[in-house]
Amino acid sequence: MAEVFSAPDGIELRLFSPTGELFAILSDSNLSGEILNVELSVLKFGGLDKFTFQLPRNNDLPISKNTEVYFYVNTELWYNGFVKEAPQPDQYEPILTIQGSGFYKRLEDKIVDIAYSNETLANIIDDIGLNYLGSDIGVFYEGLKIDVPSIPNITIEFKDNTLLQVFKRLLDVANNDYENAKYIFYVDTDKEINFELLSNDLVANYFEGFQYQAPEVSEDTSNLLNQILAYRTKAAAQNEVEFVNTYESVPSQSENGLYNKKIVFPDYLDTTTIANICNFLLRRYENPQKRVAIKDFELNNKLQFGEYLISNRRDAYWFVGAKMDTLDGWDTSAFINSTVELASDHLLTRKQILKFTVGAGSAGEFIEYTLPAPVTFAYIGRIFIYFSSSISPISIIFTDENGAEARLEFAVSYDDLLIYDGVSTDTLSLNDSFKIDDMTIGYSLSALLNEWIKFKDIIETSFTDIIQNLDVFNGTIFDSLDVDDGSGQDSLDVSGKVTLTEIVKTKILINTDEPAVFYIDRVDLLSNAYNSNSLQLEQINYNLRSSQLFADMHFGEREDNVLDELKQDSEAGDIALNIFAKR
Amino acid sequence: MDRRIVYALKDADGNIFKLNDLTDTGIFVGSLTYTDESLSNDNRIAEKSSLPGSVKLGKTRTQARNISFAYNRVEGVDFADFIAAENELIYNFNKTEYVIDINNNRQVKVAPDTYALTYSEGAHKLSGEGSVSFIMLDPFWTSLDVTTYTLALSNGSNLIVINNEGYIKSQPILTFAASVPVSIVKAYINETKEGIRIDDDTFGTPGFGTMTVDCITGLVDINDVDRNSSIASHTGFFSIPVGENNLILEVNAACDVQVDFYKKEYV
Repeated sequence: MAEVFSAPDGIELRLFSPTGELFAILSDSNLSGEILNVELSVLKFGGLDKFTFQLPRNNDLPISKNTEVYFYVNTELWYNGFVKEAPQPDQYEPILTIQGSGFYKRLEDKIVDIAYSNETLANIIDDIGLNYLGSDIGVFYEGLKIDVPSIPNITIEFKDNTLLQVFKRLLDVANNDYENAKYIFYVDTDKEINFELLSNDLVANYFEGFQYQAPEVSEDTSNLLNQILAYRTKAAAQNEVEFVNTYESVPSQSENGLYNKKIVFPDYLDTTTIANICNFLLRRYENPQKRVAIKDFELNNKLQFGEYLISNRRDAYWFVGAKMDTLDGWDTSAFINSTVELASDHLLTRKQILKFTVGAGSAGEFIEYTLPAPVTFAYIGRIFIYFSSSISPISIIFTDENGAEARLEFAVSYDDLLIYDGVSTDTLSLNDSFKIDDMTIGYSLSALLNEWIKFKDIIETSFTDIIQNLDVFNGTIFDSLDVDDGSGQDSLDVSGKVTLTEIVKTKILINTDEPAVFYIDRVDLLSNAYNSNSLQLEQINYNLRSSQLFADMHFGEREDNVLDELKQDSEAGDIALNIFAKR
Repeated sequence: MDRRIVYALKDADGNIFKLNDLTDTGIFVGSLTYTDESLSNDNRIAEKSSLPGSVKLGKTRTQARNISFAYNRVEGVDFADFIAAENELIYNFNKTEYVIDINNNRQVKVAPDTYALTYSEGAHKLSGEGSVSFIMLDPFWTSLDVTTYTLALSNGSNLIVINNEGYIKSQPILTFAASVPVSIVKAYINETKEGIRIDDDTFGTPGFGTMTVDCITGLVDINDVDRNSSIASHTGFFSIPVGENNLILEVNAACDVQVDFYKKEYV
C-alpha cells in the first residue's frame, strides 16, 4: 500500500484499489465540496459496519466494488472499509451515494467445517486465525491482538458456519463471565481481528442538559428470562429427552411476571454444569434491558466502546429504600420476640411482601436493611403499610454513611397520614375529621385497619447532627444563621433541618409491646436526583463534516442472540458449554 | 453624562466588536436602537374535561427568544468605505457567541440569526438602514460581575449561606483547593436537595490540588484533567435558587472552597 501522508484538518477520505494503490484523496476541509455527508455506523461486535458518503456525479474517480476507503478525521485514521456497491453513472441524481461495509463483513464470505476437542479458547482462535484468515478473504490474523480469558477443555464443532458465526460463538465463550469481564471482537484498521477485554472503568459520565439533550429512553423486555425448564437428551436414545430441573429467579418473576423457556441440553453435560449455565442465563436476562439513545452528540474524538454513565435529567425520583419482597439484605438478628416472614397475602405490588408479627417484648426490636447502593440527598420517605389487627407505632430509621439518622415516625396520630385507596390520596391533619367509604371516622384510627395506608413524611436531621464543625461559623457569610447569645460571640442557631447526604441503611423499629400483625409492601425514598444509567455503548452512528462532528449513540445490551444460539447449539450437540462446569 | 448603552459582540476567543460607542461618528458607527423586549413561556395547557376552564400541566418554561438591533449607517465616503463597514459587521455577527451590554457589565449567550440591510438610495449604496438579530440561547442576561464566597472547609460538614440576588437560578462554579488527599466531596443546596458527590482518590495528591466543579458547562476537572467519571451515580450539577440558600459542603479532609456564580436577569 502506498504510504499515507498526514491528512489536513477536517474530514479526509483516501481511496485505494483492492491491491493497495492510492488513487484519490477527497476532502471537504478546503470547501471544494468533493465529499459530502460522511456517515459511519460502528458496532461493538465487528467494528465499522457500514458507511456512506456522497460525491458529485461528474467526478472521474474509478470507484469500483472493493475499492478501499480510509476515513481520516483531523489527521487521525478512524476507520476503513470497502465499497460494496459501485455507483452507477447512468442516473439522473447529481449526487452519487457510495455505500460500503467494514472489513469484518468479509468474514461472512467464508464457510468452515471444523471441530475441536478439549482445546483452550486461545488455541482455537489461533488455529482458526492461522488457517482460515489471510489474503484470500482480506482479513488477517496477528496473535498479539488476541486477548481472551484462559478457558481450557473446550469441545466445539463448527459445521458449515461462516467465519463470522465462528468468531461470534467464540466471543460468547470468552464472555462466559460477562458480569465481571466483557470482551469485544472487531476488525481493526490493519484489517486484523481483535479480541479485546473492555476496561471496567467508566469511559465517560454524561449529563442531560450539558453533554446531550433529550435522550430516547426505552425498556426492552423481549429477552427477559426468569424461569428455565432444563431438559437433556438421553445418551442411549438421542431423540428422547429427560427433565433435569427448573431454574428460576423469583424476584424477577415478582417484578416482571413469568418469562420462561425450555432448553434441551446435550447428554454429555452433567447436572451441575447445566445448573451453572441456567444460573448464568438467569443472571444475564432476569432484568429488562434499559436502552438509551442520544442523538446529535457533538464530539472531538472517536468514541470508545465500554461502560458509560448516562445521567438523564434531574428530577424527583422514588428510589427503593428497602426491598420488601425478599429477606436478602436484611439483618433480622435483633428480632427476638417479633417475627418477620415473606407473605403473599394482601399484596399491593409484586409477588411477596414482609409480614410482621409483634407482641410482648417487641418494643425496641428492629430489622435492618443494607442498601446495595446508597441513595443520595433523599428528603422524603414513604411506606405502604397494612395493619390487620391493631395499629402499631413503628419507626423507619434511615442512616447515612456517617451514622447520622433521620426518622420516618409512624405514630398513632393523624399527622401526615395519607390514605391509599388505590385511586386517590387525601392529606389529613390532626384536626381533620375525614371520610373513608362515606363513613366519618373522626379520630378513630381503628378504621384504618385492613387497608393499605400510604404514609410519607420529610426525613431530615438537625443541623447539630450534620454540621460537625461549628467553629467554621464565623464571618459575614453566616450572618443569617448566627445569633448573639449575649456573650458577644456568635453562636449557631441549630433549629434548622438538613437532609442526609447518603442513606446506606434502613431500619424498621417496633415501638410497642401490644400484639399486632402488619405488612409492609414498600419503603421508598424521594430524591432530587439524576436518573443515572450504567450502560454499555453498543452502536455509534457518526455524521462527519469538517464543520461539525456528530454522533448518535445507542446504549444498552444488544447481544440478544445468545439464547437462540444456545438453543440451536444444544440441539446440534456441538456446544462449548462445558466451560460452565469449571465455574 | 451620556447614559446610552454600548452593546458589543463577543466571539469564542473573547474578541469584542462594538456595535456602537458614545461618539457615533464616522461610517463605522451609526445610530443604534434596541428597544423591544419580549418574553414568552411554554406552558402545557389542557382543557378541564368536566368543568369550564383549563389546567396547566407541568412547569412554566421560558423559551428562547430573539434580540434585535437596528441601526442607521451614515453616508460613507464611497461605496467601498460603506460596504467594508457592513462586511466587517457581518463577519463579526456570524461568529458571535455573546452579546454584551458594556455599560451594565452583563451578557447573553446567543446564536446569530438574521442580518438585513436596506440601502437608503439603491443606486448609490452609500448609506442604509440595517438590523442584526440573534436567538438568545439563554433567555436572560447574565452578569459579568462574579459573586464569590470562600470558606476553609474542615473535615465533616460545613455550611455557606449563599444569597443569589438575581431573578433566575444560577449555576455555580466550585473550586476546591487541597494539599492533602480529599477523596470524598459532597455539595448540595439544602432547600432544593440538589447536589453532587465526587469520589476521587487523586484530588489533593501532589500535582492534583485543584478541583473545579463547573455547573455551567457540566464538567468536573482536577488540574484540568477531566474527572466527570468520578461523579457518583444519581448526583450531579446543580443550581443556586433565587434568594438565600444553605449550601452544605461535606469533605473527608480539610480543604478550601471558592463558590462563584453570576446572577441573572430577565431584561
